[in-house]
Amino acid sequence: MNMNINAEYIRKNDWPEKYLLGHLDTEQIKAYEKYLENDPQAREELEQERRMIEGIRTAGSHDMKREIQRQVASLRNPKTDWTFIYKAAAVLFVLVLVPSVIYYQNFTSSPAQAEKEQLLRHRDAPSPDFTEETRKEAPEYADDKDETIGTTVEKEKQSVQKRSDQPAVRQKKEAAQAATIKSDVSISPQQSIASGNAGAGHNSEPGISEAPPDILNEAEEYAPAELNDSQRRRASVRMEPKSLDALKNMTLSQAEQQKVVQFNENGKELKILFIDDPAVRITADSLKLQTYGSEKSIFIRLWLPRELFSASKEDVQAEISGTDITITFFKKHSFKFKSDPSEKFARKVK
Amino acid sequence: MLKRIFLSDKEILKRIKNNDRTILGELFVAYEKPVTGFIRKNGGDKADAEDILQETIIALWQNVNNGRYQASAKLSTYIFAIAKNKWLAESRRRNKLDFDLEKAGEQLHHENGLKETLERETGSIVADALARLDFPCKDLLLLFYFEERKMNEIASILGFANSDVAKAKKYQCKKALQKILEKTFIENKKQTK
Repeated sequence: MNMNINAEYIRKNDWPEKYLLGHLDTEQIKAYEKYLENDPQAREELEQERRMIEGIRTAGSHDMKREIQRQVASLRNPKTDWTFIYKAAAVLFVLVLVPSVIYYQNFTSSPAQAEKEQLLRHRDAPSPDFTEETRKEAPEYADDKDETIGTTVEKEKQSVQKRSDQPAVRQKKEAAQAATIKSDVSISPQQSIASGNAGAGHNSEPGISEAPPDILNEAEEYAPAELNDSQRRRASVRMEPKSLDALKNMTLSQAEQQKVVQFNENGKELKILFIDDPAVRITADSLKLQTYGSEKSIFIRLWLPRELFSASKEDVQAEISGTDITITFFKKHSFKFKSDPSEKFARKVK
Repeated sequence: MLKRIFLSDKEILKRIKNNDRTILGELFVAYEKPVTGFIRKNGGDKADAEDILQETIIALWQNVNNGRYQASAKLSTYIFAIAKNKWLAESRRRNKLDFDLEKAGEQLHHENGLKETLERETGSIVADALARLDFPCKDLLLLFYFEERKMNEIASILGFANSDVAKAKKYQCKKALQKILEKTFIENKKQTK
């Protein structure tokens, strides 16, 4: 077969490339080689094509060698899989964080926990303002600090429940509750109130009510007899009702030194429960508190050092401004807080 | 300690055909010991062995993709035969290296731009020019000229609709590469002056 080829035909059909890659058949190779013999320009074009393909192959070979070296290095020294580590860390973070947040939200604000923290804080540096009685009580907290709280509370709850189930005790409890409710006296709406005498049995002054001695004696029946005073106090604190309804029915029958300040402001009931806490120093910058409330009623529990708890009528004042409440003792120690459930401490303002 | 990698012939061929380049390192590790042993016994060192094994793997990759490989024997036998031939060729080359270098120097004669450029620094200049091409030109040209794959395979790998589209794209890419090479030559010429 005699092929009639020219420069245009060769270029159009890409013969130089096909020739170099071995894609031409025997006849085409013969015709092309014959053409090359007579055309220097065609030989030049073929040479350019050859060098370019050679260059591409060289570059491809170098690329692949680098790729092999990189992979071998990787296989010999496997890199740490940071992606996996990051994922594992994220999962661990979530597993730790979520329970921590739940724990913090639900348990760290509990009276027992805060009390223990305060106790530990004060134990190392007892206040010079402590009374002798307070000093005696503090070591008792320290001595049983290792006791498992949950176990103790459970034991105490079971003991109280067992004792409460007895008919005679139940009757005494009901009597004590009735007496306590009667002892709560509402005061007239005022921005400033004066408290009554803190002494036991002095409930004649409006504003502050306190369980009479007989009620307190009755209340002793409900606290586990095998516990000492500090344990009984802590048990009673832990067993405090959490719900609003339960708080409304709260009594002083739990062997706790408590005073209730109750007054109305524009149809809004405010009930402040002062709790004697010997572990708190008079120099404390804040007082632990709990607030519960609705639009109509606010209930506040405030843990006080003995010096403030024992203040007389003239020594205590309370002021309300919007949601801000300020309690002043001896016209000297003022503590401010908001009537907000998230508020955990009353901060000292002077 | 590097763990030994066991690969079946079928798996190796399948992965090469599928353009799975992660097989490259695994092949090197799998055949490093026997190839290195052979080359050391025949006057080479570890670096020679690494170089030969890399070229052997590249040859295997090319031969499987361009259809030259025929599964008449075990793949390990085929690989070892390539390595052996390459090392023997390299040994012969080294024995007459001086003569070859002298001969190559006489051949350097420059007449026009592209020819001169390609003759002087063919590998590196073309590699640089390839790197300057838009995607997927470099891959396409390497698949076609270096791996010598068929157009339908290239179309499949690079996601073209069919082999005709790949062929048209290859033409465009080749022209673009030639343009860059010519431009490079002109710049080199100016610098020389």
